[in-house]
Amino acid sequence: MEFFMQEVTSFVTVLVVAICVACAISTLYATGLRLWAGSGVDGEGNAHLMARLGSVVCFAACIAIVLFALWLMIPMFH
Amino acid sequence: MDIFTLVVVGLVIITALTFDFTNGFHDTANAMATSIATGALKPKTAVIAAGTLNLIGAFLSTEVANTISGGIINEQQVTIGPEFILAGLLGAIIWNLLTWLVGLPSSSSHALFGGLVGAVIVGAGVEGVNFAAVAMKVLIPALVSPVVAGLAAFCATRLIYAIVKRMKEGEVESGFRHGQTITACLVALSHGTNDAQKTMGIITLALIAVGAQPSGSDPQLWVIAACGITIAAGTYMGGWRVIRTLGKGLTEINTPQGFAAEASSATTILVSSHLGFALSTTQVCSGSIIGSGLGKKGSEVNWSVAGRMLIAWLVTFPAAGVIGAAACALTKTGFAGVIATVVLALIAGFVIFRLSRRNPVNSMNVNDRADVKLNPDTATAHAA
Repeated sequence: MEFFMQEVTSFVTVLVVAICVACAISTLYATGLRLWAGSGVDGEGNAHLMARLGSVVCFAACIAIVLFALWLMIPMFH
Repeated sequence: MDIFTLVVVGLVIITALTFDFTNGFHDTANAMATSIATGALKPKTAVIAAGTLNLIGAFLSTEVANTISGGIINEQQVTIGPEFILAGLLGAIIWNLLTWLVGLPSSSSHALFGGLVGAVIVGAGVEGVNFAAVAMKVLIPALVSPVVAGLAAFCATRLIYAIVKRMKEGEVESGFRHGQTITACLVALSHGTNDAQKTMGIITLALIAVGAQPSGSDPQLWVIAACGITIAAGTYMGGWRVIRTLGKGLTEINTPQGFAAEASSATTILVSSHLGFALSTTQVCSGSIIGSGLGKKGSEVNWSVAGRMLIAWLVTFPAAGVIGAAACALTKTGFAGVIATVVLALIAGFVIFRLSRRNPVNSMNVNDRADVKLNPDTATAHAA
């Protein structure tokens, strides 16, 4: 019974962590794209620097997550 | 060492590499099916990328397991002789080829475990098999993997479409193309770090068993290289039939969905392997594709294909087991039996290959249709 509970706990952990990470990286990438699309110089000649900056931050976070995934994947690093 | 053992070990190495090859081409679809279906990568580019990453992955991770079966077979009680391994491998190879013929993704590791268990039951009796481990490592993951990955992909797809709602469709499609390529490459790399190892382990254990290298030692360089190159070659050949089913058969995929699916697959594989819940890559990837189909409003999932896949996953272990058991019954009879088994397996492989030629699927026509038909006549009748 204890063994069974342990399995259920690890299953729930995997489920929750997987959903959170997948949602986080999707949100970051989608937000990055959307901010980038809105960050050009508009018809009135205004540049949207904050949007451009936000977009770069989002993409940088995506790259960081990918690098972390590589670190996890390659046993040489740990 | 007598000549009999030498020949059997030679056959084990060749069969293990053949299994490695089928493993590669069966699993190209996991990483690349969505990228090929959305056009993010050209079919040929996708298989070259996946093959290269599998080769790199094979060299990056050579921590070979010290058991072949990961506890499914009681390796303390039963010595797994080379002829058992041979029979198990042949069962797994033939099952892999059969599922490829009908275009269904199935787990290569489940096929391998099934084949070995079947061989051990015939060769050493039922007490050699740890059925609790079978339930924990095969049955439960087959049911749980698609649910976990599917839920993750579903949520991710919903979020993505909510965020990019106001963007132009063309911008969204091309923007997610890059993301999809990167996440697909991560899945391919993780496949190389996991799956090539299995074959390395088998060959190394066979070499240890005949005293060709000391017990507990690491795989030799030629073993690592041979396994890496074989799995990469298999991946490059591309199991186009499975790629078509996964990319086109389950649901119509756009690049945001492809990104969500591959990101969820990569995440689920990494999270499960680091939190100690072994999930199967094949089932994870199929589940996330279904999830991404459910997550987009107005897109439909073909449940009859999904249902056939589920049946294939549940049948993989016993079916490979039956073939492995039959092969073991024959190899047990002695040297002539071993040769006869290998010849029969070669004939079976050849027949399956001939059947596949009747209605071939390749890099040119992989995206043309959504289903894999065996009979060319009915296929053209449907198309007309």
